[in-house]
Amino acid sequence: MSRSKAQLQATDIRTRPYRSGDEGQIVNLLNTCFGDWGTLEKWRFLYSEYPTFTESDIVILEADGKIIAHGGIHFRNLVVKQHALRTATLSDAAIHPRQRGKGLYTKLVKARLREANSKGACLALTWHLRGSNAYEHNRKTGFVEIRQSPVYMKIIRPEKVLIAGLFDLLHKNQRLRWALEDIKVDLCLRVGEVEFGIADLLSKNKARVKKGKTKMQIVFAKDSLLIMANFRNMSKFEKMRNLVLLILLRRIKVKFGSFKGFLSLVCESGKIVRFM
Amino acid sequence: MSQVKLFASCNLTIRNYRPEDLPHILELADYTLAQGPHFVRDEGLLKHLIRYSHTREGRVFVATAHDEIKGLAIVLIELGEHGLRFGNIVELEAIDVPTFHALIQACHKYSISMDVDAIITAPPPGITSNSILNDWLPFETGVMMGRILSFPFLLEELLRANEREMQKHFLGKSFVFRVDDECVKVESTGDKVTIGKANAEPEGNDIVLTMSHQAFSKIILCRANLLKAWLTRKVKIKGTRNVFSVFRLLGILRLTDRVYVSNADRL
Repeated sequence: MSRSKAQLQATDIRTRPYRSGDEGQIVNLLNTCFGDWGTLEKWRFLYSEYPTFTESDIVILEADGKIIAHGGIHFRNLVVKQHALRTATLSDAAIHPRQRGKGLYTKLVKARLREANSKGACLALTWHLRGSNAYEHNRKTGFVEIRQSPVYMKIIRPEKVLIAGLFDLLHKNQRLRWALEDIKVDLCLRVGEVEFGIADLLSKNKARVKKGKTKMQIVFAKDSLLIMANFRNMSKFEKMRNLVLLILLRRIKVKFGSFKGFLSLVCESGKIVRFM
Repeated sequence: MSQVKLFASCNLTIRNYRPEDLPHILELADYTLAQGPHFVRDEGLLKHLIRYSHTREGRVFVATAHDEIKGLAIVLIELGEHGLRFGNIVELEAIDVPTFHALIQACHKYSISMDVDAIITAPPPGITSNSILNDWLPFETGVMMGRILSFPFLLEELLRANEREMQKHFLGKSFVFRVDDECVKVESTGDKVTIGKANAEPEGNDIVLTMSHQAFSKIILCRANLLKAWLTRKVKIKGTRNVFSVFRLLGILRLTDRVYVSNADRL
């Protein structure tokens, strides 16, 4: 579809604030866009029950009576040297997968910045994964990185954390998902005693997994999770550098079922690296 | 949960939250967070978090010593991607390292009892937590980004926040900030700093700073080196030969410290 045609379609889309009763549709949209986003109760906690909430803090894009995009704003004061600056945090921007590529994210950001400006906020804040589409978009439209306090994680079950991280990565990176679906190798990951196939993450319907593939196993040492925990927040170059480093240090071991499997993976690795 | 004495030498006790603790917790938040930029903690927000913790299998721990409140931790049990269950310590305030240690231990113990796969926390500012969190991974949840919505308004707020330093270093001086098409004049007189619209042409002793909106954002949010910005003509300075006094002004205004963001602020 040409860009102009796509933009023409976007003109039929209406921007409006939240109305009581929208919650169900909004939570469905968020779960469609982000995988396991959460429940109605979580949305109410974050928005409608939040102490400073007003209906205009939720920006909704609607087409044919259906909610196709959602974006929230939280107004909070940032205290700098005992002086409060009014800020607006833009959160949970979600565009329905079928409506992407029409400039709706830009529309959503602009509508929220307008709203924030009208309510006297002097600074707009967001949090995004480095390298994500939203991060790149915001960087180009005048957002600047701000240094923040660190977060620490204690991993109790490394295998579950790795599976969840991979699931999230594949959910947000559709092209990597397609590239992995197409490879002719049955890719298995192993952390400690736990082993799982990439096919399990790619499709809930395990029957779709092709049989007769050559098996390839990637074994992660538990301390490799130090780096893998931040994998989705790295740039492509950092991802490659860290993977190569972990393989060289033998913290990640790659085991092939056959030489044929090795060759087929080498042939297709370019595609995976490109979309990583 | 019964009261457990964790640190006998400090007489530190970890117990469950009681509604009468709230005013003391607000005082504690003001004290512990005062060291750097942070989001405001008010009664409404804390009540909201505490109420939510009851619905999310969460727990609110309070650290006390000699009947004084020394710390607070709110832990929520959350479900993440692909069934990942994690203990999210959304709010953690501690007056000192032993209190921080005790609260982390209590949250850890509770999270393990709730069968979680991982625990996440953002340590409070000013606590050197290296020895306590040495088996925890530094974890980047997302990059914080900011965009200045109203340059005159932000400048005014930052000048108000730094009024004392302005009077100390720039008494009797006037600056004109030209950011894209907007002009703001800042004057530091005897008792206060005044901010107003500037004329198109600078007057008498005005020091004029010209820059783009992007350059102003990068300088204020501490993402640009002042000297480099001046040498590459991203910031133009007219009306003085002493550019370092202008650097000092910009240095006072910029957010040099890390912003403390708790997990509750990131939700």
